[in-house]
Amino acid sequence: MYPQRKVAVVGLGVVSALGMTAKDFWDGLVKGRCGIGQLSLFDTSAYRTHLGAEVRGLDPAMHFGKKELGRMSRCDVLGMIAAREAMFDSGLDFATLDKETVGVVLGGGAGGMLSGEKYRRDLHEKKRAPRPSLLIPFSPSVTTDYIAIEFGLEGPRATIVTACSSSSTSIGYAADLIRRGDADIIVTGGSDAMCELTYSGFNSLRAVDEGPCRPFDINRKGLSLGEGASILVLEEMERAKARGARIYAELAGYGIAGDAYHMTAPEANGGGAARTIAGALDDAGVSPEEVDYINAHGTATRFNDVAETAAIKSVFGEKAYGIPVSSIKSMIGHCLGAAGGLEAAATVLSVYHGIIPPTINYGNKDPHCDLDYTPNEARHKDLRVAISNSLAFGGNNTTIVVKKVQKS
Amino acid sequence: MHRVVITGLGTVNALGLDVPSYWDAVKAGKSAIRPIEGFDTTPFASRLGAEVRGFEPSKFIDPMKLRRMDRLSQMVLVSSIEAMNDAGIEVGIIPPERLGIVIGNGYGGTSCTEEFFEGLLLRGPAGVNPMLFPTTVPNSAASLTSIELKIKGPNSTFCQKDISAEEAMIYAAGLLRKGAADAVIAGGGEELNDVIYHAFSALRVLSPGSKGQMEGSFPFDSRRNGRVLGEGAGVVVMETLESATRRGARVYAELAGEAMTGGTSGISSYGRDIKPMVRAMDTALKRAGVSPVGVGYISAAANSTIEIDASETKAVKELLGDRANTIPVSTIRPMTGDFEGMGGLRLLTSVLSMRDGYIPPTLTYRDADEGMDLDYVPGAGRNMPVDIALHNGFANGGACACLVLKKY
Repeated sequence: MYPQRKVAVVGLGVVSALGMTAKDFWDGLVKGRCGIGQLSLFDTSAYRTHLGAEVRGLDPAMHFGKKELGRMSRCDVLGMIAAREAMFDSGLDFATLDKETVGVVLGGGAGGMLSGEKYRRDLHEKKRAPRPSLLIPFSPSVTTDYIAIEFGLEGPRATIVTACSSSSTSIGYAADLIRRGDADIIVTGGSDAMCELTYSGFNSLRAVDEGPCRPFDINRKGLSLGEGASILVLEEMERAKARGARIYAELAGYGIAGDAYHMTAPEANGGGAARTIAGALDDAGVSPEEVDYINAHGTATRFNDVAETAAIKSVFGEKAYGIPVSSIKSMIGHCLGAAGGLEAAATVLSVYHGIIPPTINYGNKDPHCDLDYTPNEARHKDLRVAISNSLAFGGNNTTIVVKKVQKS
Repeated sequence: MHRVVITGLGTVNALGLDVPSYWDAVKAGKSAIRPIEGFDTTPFASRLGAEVRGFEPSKFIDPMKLRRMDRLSQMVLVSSIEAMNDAGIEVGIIPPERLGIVIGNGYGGTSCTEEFFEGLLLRGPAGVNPMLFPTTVPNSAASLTSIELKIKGPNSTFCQKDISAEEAMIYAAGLLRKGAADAVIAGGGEELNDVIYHAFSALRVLSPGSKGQMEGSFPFDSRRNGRVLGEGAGVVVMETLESATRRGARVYAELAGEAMTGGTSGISSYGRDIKPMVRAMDTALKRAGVSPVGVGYISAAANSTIEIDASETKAVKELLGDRANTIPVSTIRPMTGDFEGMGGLRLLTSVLSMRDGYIPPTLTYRDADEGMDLDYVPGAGRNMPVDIALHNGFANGGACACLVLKKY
C-alpha cells in the first residue's frame, strides 16, 4: 500500500526469562533453554499451578534512582531497560536526531497491575495507608510515556492494548506510520509484567499447564505465563542505509482481523487467523511461496494450537507441511502484552542469523497439529520471509511480516 | 489513498442515552454533573460526577449475554448499534471482513476487574469468577461489540489516557486510507465507578469540594481546580468515501486530516511545553489541506485542570496568531463530565455542530484567567455555520492527537 517507503529494524532490546539482554534472549532461544520455573513474585501456594517465566535477577536499583522507582511499575522498569538497550543498539546519534520525527508506539497488557494489586491489598488489609503513587502506572500508556520522556521523543505516540496481540499490532502500526511518512523512526514493541490478576484469571479458566507448556504436543495442558519486554527500533529504510546502520531485517507489513467469535476461544477452523495471515502477506506484497518460517502464537492451549495449525494450512495449502513453525512460548512463556514484541524480536533475529529457534518440551504428535514444529532443536536455514502470529483474547489477531535484507 | 467520511453516530452518556436526546440536552444547555448516587463518595474530597442513569442495555442486548459484559462494553455496544443503524449498515451491506472496530478507553471495565480481584482478595484463587476474567482486559468492549455485530475486519483497542479515543479514531482512519477496511466503528468510552473515582481522588486529579474550594468543571475559568468525571461511550462510523458513495449513504462530514505528536514534560503532566500541541494541530490541518485561518471551530482538550487549559490557550494563540480570539473554542465537559475515552463523543458532537450550525458552549465559563482570553463560547451555545472543525486531544503524559473535520 505504501510502496515508496520501507521500514528497517535497526535496534533490539529484550528482557525476558532468558536474561536481561537481547543476546541472552537469542542465545537462550537457539540453545532451547526453558525459562519457565517456580514463580517468586507472589505466593502461588493456594494455586493449582506454581510455574511461570519470570524475569529473574532483575535489580531495578541498578538502573533507576530511588525516587523514580517509587513511581514506576515493574512493567515500566522492564520496558525502560529494553528501550535503553534497543536505542543503544540502533546506533542512532541522539545529539543530532530530529526528535519530532521519532515516535513511540507500544503494546501493553496488565501494565502496572502488580502495583495496583499492592495498593488494593494494602487498602483491604488496612495495615497501612496505601501509597497513591502505586496508582500512577495503572494506565498501560505510562510505559510509553516514560520511554518518550527519557529520550525526548516528540513524534507520534500511541499505546495499543489488545491482550496477547498488543505489541504485534503496535509494531505493525509503527511500520505504517513510517511507511506513510508520519515519522522516520519509531520505538516500538511492548512490555508486560506478571501479576496475580492474570495468573488467577488464566488459572480459573483452567488454561495453565502444571508443568512447562508444551505447544502443539498432544499432551499439552495449557499455557505457561511469562513476562518481559521487547523493544524494536524501526527506521525508514533509505535513512538507515544512508547512515550505515546495521539492518536486522525489513518490517514489510502486517495484517489485523477479528474472529467475531468468542472472548476466550478461537474459531475452530482458524478462519480469523487465516484472514489475518493472508492480509499480512498482501500488505507486505509477499506471496505465500516466499514464506520460509512461521513464528507461531502457539500458546499450548488445546484450542489455539489446533486453530492456528488449521489457519496455516488454509493459507499455505500443501506447502504448509514444508514450512518450519515454532513457538518460543515453550521457553519464555506467554508474555501477553509483550508476547508479540518478544516474538517479533525472535523472528527478526531468525531472519538475520538464518536460525530457527525450536519448540521445546515437544514429545508427541497431535493428529490435529501435524506440521513441522521444529521440535526441541534449533535449525539453520536461510530465511527470505518469516511471519509471526499473535492471536488474542476477543479474537484480536495480528500477523507481522519480516523480510531478509541482503547485507551490502 | 482513500478519503474518509463519517456516516453514522452513536452514544450513551450522562446527558442522553442516544444521539437525538443527547443533542437536545446540549442545545438546551443542560449539565449532567450532580452529586454521585451510584457509590458512596464520603471517603473522598469530591462528590460530583456525571453518571449515566436509566440505561437499559437489555433493550438492545440479550440478558444472558449482558451478564458477561462489563458496563463499558455495554455502553460501547449500544452506541455502536445506534451508529450502525444511523449509517444504514445492516448485515450484508458491507462484508463482515471489510468492517472494523477500534475503541479507545483508559482503563477498561474497571468495575468487573475490581469484582474479579475482590474475589481473589476475599476468597483466594478458588474464589475468582472465571466469567469475569475476559472483561478485565481493556479490549473487551471492542471485542464483545465485534462478536455481537459480526465485525470480522480490523479490531483494536487504544489506551492513552485522555486521548485513548482520539488515537483509536486516528488508527481507524489510517486503516481506511490504506484500504484495509471499508467502514470502521471508531470512538471510545469509560465507566465511572468507585475504583476510578478512588484512584483519581487519591492522585488529586479531581476538583475538590473540601476546604472551602468550589468543586466543579470550569474549563478555561480562573476557578478551575481539577476534573469532574463522567462516563459514557461515543462512536462514529468512519467509511471510505468510495464505500459511502457506492451504497448511497448520507455523509455527515469528511475526516480530512489527523496527526499525533508527543510532549515530554512529565509522566503526570499535561505539558507545559506547547510546541508538540501546536505541531499536532498544524500538521493535522496541513494534512487536511486547510490553513489555520480556515478553522471555524475548535473542540478543546481543556478539562478544567490548571495546566492543560492554560497550555491549550497558549497553543491556540501560537497557531492562529492575531485571529486566535475570533475563533470559538469550547468544551462539552461541564455538561457531560470528563472521561478518558470521550474523544468519540466529542467528535460526534462536532459533526452535529457542522450539520446544524450550532456550537456548544463552555457552559460554566464565567471568570477570565490571566492571559486566557480566547472566545470560549461562555454560558450559551451559538448558532453559526461551521465548515471546518479542529478537534484537540492532549493527554496527561504528553501525547497529543488532533483531528480535522471538513464539511462534505
